Amino acid sequence: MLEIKNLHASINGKEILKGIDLTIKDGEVHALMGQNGAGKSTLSNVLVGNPAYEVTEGSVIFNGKDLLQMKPEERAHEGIFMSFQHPIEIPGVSMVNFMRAAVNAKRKYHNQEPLSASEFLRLMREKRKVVELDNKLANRAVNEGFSGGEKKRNEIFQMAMLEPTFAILDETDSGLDVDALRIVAEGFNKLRTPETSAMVITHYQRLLDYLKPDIVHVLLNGRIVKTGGPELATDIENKGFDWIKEEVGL
Amino acid sequence: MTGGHQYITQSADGKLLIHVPRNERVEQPIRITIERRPDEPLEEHRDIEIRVDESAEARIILNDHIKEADGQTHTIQNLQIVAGENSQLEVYEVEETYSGHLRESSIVVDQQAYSRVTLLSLTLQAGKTVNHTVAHLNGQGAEVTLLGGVLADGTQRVENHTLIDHAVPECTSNELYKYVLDENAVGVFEGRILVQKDAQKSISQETNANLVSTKTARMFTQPALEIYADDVKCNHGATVGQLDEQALFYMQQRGIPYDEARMLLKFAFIGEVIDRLPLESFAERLRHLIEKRICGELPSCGDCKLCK
Repeated sequence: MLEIKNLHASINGKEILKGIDLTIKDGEVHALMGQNGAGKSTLSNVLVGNPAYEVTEGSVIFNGKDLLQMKPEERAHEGIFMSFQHPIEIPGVSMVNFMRAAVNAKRKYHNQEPLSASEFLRLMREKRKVVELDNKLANRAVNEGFSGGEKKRNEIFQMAMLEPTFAILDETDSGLDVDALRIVAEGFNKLRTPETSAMVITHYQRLLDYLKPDIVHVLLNGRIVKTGGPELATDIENKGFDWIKEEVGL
Repeated sequence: MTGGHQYITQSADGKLLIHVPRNERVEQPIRITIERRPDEPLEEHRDIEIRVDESAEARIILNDHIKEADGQTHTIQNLQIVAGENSQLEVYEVEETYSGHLRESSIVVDQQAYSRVTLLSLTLQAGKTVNHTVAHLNGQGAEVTLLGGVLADGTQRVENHTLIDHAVPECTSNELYKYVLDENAVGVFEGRILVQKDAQKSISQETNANLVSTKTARMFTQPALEIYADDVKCNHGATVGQLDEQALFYMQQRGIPYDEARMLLKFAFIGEVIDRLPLESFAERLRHLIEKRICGELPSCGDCKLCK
């Protein structure tokens, strides 16, 4: 699904990613852990094409295609979705208009007819159930007046609407209470198929207890320094990152 | 013109008078579309008086729809509005002209006690437009709402100069003007609020928010408050900003193409003004027109004699 080779990226002239190599196969969930400043969000932003970041070296191949050549909207149409760490509020743009524009843009890209107004509303009603998003929120402006938990549920709702093949969850658990976390994680799990993959960026074990990653990576100073199974996340939860730093001589 | 013929008279010198007598409630909007026939002179003097008597109600739509001609067209409009005691009046003006047109408009409103007047000035297409609006709150408890929307691109220049005069106590004024400027357009907003010495308990809220979506468009905004009474609540604010890059990227990540995302944001921005209109059916129609304008599909509105 995704092959990242020797990826280097900077922001404002400062190099953050210093040679990332990572392969994610269909159906796999990879967790990316690391301390603040290690480069986790940089990696996710580079994958979705945030213009604030500059790729200086390396390649990213997504299902055989050169991802770095694609505009952000093209990457979305190809099947990439990111649940933002800080979802933006967009006053005056309703969730309905927003999602309809997104869904129909993807359909157009794949030479499908746009959904009619009633087909679309039916789709929204169906997908709201995935994260128990109530009708009131769905009719408001995008994220306007939403609590932290509601914003994160809204991210997973949008994921349900867009049906990506590769989802990046960027610190989706930050700022969530126990109940909100459960709804978000269960929502994500409902959307998983043997064909879809994900990259889950997190500091904490809690989310990974629900999402059960196949592989866990540790990012340190812009490189992946350790890769292991789910038990690696438990070790980090118990021991922190210092032992890893010692191991790799940092 | 549609409906409300019984309230409209045109005098020999061309002055149009719309008069709603005491206690009459005209539910249906009175719609007046001003067009220009090819044989008419390039310069037009438009003289209109709207008079709503005590406890009467009316909604009036003025559509300024001058299209291209063999020469520069010029309209000089003089609109006088008198709102009697306890009356309710909404006047919606929509300008859909073209780049070679010069429009100069002067609106003067005289409000009596407890009258409620809402004015909308929506500039969808223009060349050079200079609108002056003055509202005199001459009776206690009068309320005025001035709403304005401007969508300008090319080398269009749209100026709105407003003055709200709180002449007596306990009146309320609300003002919201929003501009979306593209390409090399120029926008000017001058909003003066005058609260006279004895106008105690005046309440006034003035907001001018502007979206400048290119590096070459320019906005000049000047709110001005002159307050001579001491027991008042007056707020004002003016902002000039660009499209929110983070919001644009969020939309792109969801698959919305960049240009479409920009249009959605512009539409959302100007939508706030339309959301304030009391006449929802007309607001819906305006949203449709604004959408077309933002997508570059106007100037044809599709349903008037000129555009068919």
